[in-house]
Amino acid sequence: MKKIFAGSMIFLLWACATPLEYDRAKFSINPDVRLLNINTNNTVRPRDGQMLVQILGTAADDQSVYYKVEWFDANGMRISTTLSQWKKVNLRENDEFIWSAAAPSRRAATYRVYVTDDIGDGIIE
Amino acid sequence: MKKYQKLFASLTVVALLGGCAGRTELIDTENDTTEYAAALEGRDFEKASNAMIQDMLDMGTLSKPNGQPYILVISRIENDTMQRIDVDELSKSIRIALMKSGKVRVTAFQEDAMVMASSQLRQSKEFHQANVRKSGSLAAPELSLSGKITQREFVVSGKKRIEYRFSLSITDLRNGLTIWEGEEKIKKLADKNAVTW
Repeated sequence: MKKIFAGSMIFLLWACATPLEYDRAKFSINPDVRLLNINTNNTVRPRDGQMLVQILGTAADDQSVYYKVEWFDANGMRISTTLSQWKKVNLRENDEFIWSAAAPSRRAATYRVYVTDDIGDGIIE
Repeated sequence: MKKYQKLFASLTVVALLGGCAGRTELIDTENDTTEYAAALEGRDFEKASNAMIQDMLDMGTLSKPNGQPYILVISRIENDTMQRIDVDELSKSIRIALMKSGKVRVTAFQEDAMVMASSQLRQSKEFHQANVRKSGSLAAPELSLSGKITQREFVVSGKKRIEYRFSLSITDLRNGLTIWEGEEKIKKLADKNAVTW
């Protein structure tokens, strides 16, 4: 009986700790951010070649998180822009969220989304 | 001896005051989570301009049909707040981002007096004329960026609520039609005695 109980507890803990699965080429997510899922899609507007990105997900918990989108050109070089700044958002348990971003220029070929719950206090030591 | 005592006392006071002075620290502007001021500050301008640039790029109205960039002039941005602020903080970041986007080029004929003054070099024999601007060669603006920053304050439940509103418009100078309008609000809750000017 004890063995069954212990086994159930281990199974339950394992189930709770199932790691979030996401595309690691597109996302960098701090392990402390509690999400049920996260995905992204993008489109290039034919009229002007502008890349538009949408990030969709579901929060696992009430939490304030920061996100930013970094853009890269065809050679993989980071595009410097003021638009790639941390944005703070409040997530609600089991609520879906949609974040959108427009590429800073037509040079943008790829992007990476960074999500974290802590960006530090801003003081450079 | 008294003279030395006075000097020693003065030096001690100076040393003590120096010791009390807090250390100045550098702030990482990309991760700045330090406390906000009730007045408008750099981060507010950044937030407002970033939101409006995103909207401009998202809407696609600044994309010329032939793919060429528009010529933009920065018109008047009115400061209707109680603060003495440089509205260039808002327009500068917008123009930098728009120029980087490749969608506009900004004419500086209004801000840079040398643009107009350089025509005087045309008559001078002191200057090699190859670099002198020819008559009729200035690019005329097609679009104009104008706007307003306003401030309203209320006291609610013993706290001061401060609302800043950044409104910008881009107008097509060839026909007077507004092709984009954006508004960004920043609301702050501060101590009721907080001073914003």
